[in-house]
Amino acid sequence: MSPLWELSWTFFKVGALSFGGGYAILKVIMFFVVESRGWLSLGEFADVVSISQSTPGPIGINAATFVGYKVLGVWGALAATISSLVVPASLSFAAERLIRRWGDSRLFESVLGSLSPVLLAMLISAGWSLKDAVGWGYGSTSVFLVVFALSLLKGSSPLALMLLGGLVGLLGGLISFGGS
Amino acid sequence: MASTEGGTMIPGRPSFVRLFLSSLRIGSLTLGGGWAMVPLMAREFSSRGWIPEGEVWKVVSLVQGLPGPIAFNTSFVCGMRVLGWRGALAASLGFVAPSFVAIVLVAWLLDLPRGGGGLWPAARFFLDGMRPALLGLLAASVVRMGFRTLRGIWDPLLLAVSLLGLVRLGLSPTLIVALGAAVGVIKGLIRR
Repeated sequence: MSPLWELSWTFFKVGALSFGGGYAILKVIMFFVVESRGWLSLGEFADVVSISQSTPGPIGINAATFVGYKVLGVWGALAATISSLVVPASLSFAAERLIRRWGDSRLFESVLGSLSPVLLAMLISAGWSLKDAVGWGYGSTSVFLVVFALSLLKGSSPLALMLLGGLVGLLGGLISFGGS
Repeated sequence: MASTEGGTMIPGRPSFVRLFLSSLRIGSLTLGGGWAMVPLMAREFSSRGWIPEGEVWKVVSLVQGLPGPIAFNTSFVCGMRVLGWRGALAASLGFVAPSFVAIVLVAWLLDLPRGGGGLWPAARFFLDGMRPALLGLLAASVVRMGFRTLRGIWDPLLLAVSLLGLVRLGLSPTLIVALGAAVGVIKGLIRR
């Protein structure tokens, strides 16, 4: 398989499996891009996700663009991004044309409902892998706890919380940089 | 391209470019994810008289269960309702373009593709600080989703089996999603 084709096929699959929206997709991308292909290291993957929290657009699209860019430059970015949207676009088209007529398909809803424990499992396993990408210390542990609490209790915006983490990291890094 | 009917202009149909520009604006305004985009889209499209705000939310519930970013699917279908397949193209292109440009620009600026070797130290510190924050966000969404979705005995069982497959056995998410879908089909058939 040519690299361009391999990239497109991988993100075609990622797109087809991107149920639930948001963080559940992380595990899918991680599986194909980090664990199977080795296109990104775990640390690089953590960076992509962090960056995509503070740029426009959903994580799935951002990750496709980034990985494509890393593997094959701008053309790779284009191929990966478009491939990841083929299945969502086709199914949206089909839903608009067909499902609207069936209206309340019980079977369809039941399938979707039963996917939520699966999506939850994907969330947990993504976090379980990503914890190894963090250099754990007092600073990072406090960032983790504060962000967890603020997000859960206050519903603070992910963007603000990510920037908070970044600033703490920057400050800590500069202080230890100057000290050594 | 407002169509004319009996001599009066119907304001409901934008041109390809107009729809693209509107989507571009929404796509570039919303940082950090898809859900924040939907209310903006609803307001923008309805204020221009292309589609009622309530219909945008109906589209959301139509595409919610499909794979793909919810905001992308919503903009695709709304574009379709407003201007057919050309509308779907205009809306989704406008939606994706800002995110594409931003990521390519950031990747190029930070020189991340070369493994962080060429990265400025300050950017490295910043990114390292973002990692525990990301994990905090993930943990919070695990708790929220756990409380919202786990019901009965089947859900925790399916969760445990999926976790076992993903974390311990390293199975592909394709298999796990297929398993979840199969359980859903069986449950759906039993309930009938």
